[in-house]
Amino acid sequence: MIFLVVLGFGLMIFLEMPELIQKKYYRELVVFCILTLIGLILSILLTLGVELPYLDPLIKKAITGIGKLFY
Amino acid sequence: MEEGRISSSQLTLLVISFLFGTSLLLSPGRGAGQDSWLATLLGLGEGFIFALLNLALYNRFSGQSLVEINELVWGPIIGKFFSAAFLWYLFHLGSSGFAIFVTLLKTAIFMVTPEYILLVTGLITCIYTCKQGIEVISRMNEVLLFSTLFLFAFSLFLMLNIFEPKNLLPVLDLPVKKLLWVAHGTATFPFGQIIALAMVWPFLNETEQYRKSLFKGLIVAGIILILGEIRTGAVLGKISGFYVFPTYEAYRMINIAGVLTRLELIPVLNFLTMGFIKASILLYATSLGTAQMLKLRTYRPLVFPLGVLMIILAAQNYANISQHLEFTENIHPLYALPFQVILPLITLLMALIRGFPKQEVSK
Amino acid sequence: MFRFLLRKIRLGKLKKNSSSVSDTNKFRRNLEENLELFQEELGDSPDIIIRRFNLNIKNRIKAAIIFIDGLMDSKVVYDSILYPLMIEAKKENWVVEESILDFIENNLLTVGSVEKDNDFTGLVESVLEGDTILLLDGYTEALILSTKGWEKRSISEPDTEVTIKGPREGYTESIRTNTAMIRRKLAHPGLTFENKKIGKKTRTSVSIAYLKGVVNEKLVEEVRRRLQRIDTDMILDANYIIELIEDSPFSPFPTVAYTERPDVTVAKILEGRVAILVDGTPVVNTVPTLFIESFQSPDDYNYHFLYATLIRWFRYLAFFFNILLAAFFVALSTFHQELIPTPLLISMAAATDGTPFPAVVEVVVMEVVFEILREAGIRLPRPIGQTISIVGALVIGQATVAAGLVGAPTVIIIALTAISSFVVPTQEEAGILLRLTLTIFAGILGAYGILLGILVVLTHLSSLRSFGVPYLSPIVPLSVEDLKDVVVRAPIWAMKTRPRLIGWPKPIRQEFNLGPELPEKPTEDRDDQGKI
Repeated sequence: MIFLVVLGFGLMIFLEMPELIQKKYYRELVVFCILTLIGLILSILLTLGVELPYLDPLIKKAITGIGKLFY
Repeated sequence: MEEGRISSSQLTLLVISFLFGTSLLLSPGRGAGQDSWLATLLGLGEGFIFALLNLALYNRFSGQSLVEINELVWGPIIGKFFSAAFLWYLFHLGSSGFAIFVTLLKTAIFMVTPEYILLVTGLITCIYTCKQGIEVISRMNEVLLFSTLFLFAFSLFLMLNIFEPKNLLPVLDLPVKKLLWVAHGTATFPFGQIIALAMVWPFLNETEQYRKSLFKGLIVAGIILILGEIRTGAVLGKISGFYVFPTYEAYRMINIAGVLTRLELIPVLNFLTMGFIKASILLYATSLGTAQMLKLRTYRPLVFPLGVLMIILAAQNYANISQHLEFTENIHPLYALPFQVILPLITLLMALIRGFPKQEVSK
Repeated sequence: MFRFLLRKIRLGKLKKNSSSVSDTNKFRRNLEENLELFQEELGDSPDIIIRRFNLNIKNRIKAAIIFIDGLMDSKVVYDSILYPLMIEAKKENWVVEESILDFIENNLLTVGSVEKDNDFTGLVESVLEGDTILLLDGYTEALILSTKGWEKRSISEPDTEVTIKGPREGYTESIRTNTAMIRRKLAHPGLTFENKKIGKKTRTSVSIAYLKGVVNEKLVEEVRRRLQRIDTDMILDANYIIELIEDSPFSPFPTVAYTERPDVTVAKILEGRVAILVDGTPVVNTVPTLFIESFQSPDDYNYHFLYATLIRWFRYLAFFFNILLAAFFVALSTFHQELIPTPLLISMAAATDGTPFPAVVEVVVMEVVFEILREAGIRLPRPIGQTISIVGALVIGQATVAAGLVGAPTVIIIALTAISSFVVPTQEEAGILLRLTLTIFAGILGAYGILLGILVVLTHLSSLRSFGVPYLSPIVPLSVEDLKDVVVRAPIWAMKTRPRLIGWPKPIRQEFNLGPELPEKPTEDRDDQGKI
């Protein structure tokens, strides 16, 4: 499974990078690499079955917290 | 960055499909039961106010996207915060879209297929479309929207025999406060979400037409959504509020002489095509906005990583569908306000204070 | 990505070796030396004929003609060149005031077109094209006499685009015949042919044809530019040109249309398109090409418009059958059985009972078998081809079902798909590809897979352009007026404008009120001049 994930990312990197390097778009390359790296790490964690926190309760907490400030 | 241009009628169609997006199936006024059409109507009115506010801001900066406006008004550092907040909203919206996409597919068709397969295949399609630019998205949209409208009209016709106007009575069978809350909910979802198109309308080739096409899109989409609510309400009656996807249930009721039955693939198809357009626009807008915020020369390499992050978030948004519904009904109306109203509003005020437009900003 | 690969290939390519055939002033005054030059250049092949003779004007001059046997019209060479020069020249006492060469050209040669030239390379080229050149002793110039004429196929009925009520003539391999056929149908002085030789070795004639005043000048310029940059050594067929100039070479959809029929070409030229004719190919290509053209058959315009509209809709339906029927079948029978009406489901289940493979395998295998059968049927001589089809379709189809290898519904679906694929012949190549991929998608993800496949195809189609015109127009971007030849086949008197994106320099085709009227009062003559 992890192999497939890495393969997919590798394929996309192979498709994207050469053009960026050829055009000397280094700024874009850095942003691309950072974002891809985050994505890769998160997807590997997910495939390994690591329990990542859900987002929804966090937003709910934030909203109720702000609400309490006013009431 | 983006060489394509779209015409004003294409923008109108984009607005319509964007509003249809997830709401064709996840009825916006679901909480109001048989009065959902009324809630949608009120929400449309409120949505208009949001749209006017955003247009008031955009009017001062013709040809600039919201990210660029933020940068102009607030300077490079605070502007980036504002842009980042706005982009986060788009990003989160996109991931919610993907999440509901998968939920529907899982409940309706693919009980056993793992959800990541559905997500990844959908994402690949979206990435491919986004990379082709706004011109291709809007052309695709023309085809898909017309097929959707056709199927919608067709289904209205098929439901005539199970249409029970009595089901819509009594009108206003719920506390006004609740109705207004639901109405506000429909204003933030879907009508207020057109702020995402603030990334798109700089690419209009007739720059002065954006106001007209935005309003046209809002009205047409609003009318059709209200029609859909009336139809669902009249077919299902009071129980419509109990279902997760009332529209889907209404289609299941279709039975024309035992031949045309089980047409629930139609709403799924409508939902998937329109949701695809919405997701593509959101992914496109997020990538383009990020690229503009970071002053990149092209947004195309960002589409893939942002898309991946979007579906990861989609899997991590909600633990289950009831959480999602609760979020849409109770949290989102508040959560969306800063992004849809407050940030544009203070940007507008700041722009007024700083006396924009200072000069003709040329792109 | 592909662009990147292409660049890699290009970088790896060796520097082009420029051929050295540009030494011009080789000519001497001595005839024999000149003839030796030609012999050297043309070689000793038996079909190259050098005929020496004596010319008797004023005094005896040595002369020679060079031509290639089989490429020239022997009647012209004997009657209009050799006979006058050898026999007629002797008969009278000529008063020659100009040079002998000019004198011959003006008084003796009865050939249609004569040209004077001293460029050695050019002369060799004309010989190779079938012209005859005349050399005189003592002159550094030669005459090129147009004597082209070779065995060619006569005009016959086109094989692939058969019409029932339309004209029966189709293009031949000779470009001159083809241009003549076009001009005979379009006798307007604005019709322009631009000739060009492409292919460093084959020197193939390529013509572009357009109607001045109707065509968009920028389009012509673009076609010229794309032809200009072709730098290859052989053009054997129109497809060699097409693959070098088309917009998206990786797309399975044809972005350059072809036809075998001059009436179709003329209709397209009249809409503002540019035609590309290639010598040696019995088809003519037109650009820009729209997706919708594949569905417009020439016979549409020969039948009553209501019938033509209906048939056109059947054609759209057949196209959808062609690419989607198999996929839907797989999706329904594998994933969404609940959507099939119960009686049908029962009979289907009965028919597929006991077949060993899943539906997607059945469909794909039968699909491949069918494609092989079809390929065999096309390539074999006609009587055998028919036998093959019968053996294939009946025996294999029947036997597999009887043996319980494949369900009967699969065979029905494949047969329907196959028949539908012949309805829209120009999209056949794309059709096979789409059908197979969509079927496999359907096997993996059911209806969702089909939808995703369609979305990708739609994205691809919307991003395609053919010579600057969006491939899906006039549907996307929508141009309501042009739907008159898409959604319906409007009556001829209602087709008053050209396609908006192609014929925009001169959009109006005819008057608004051309619909037939009954003569209430005596009809006046309508002034029809000045219209193209």
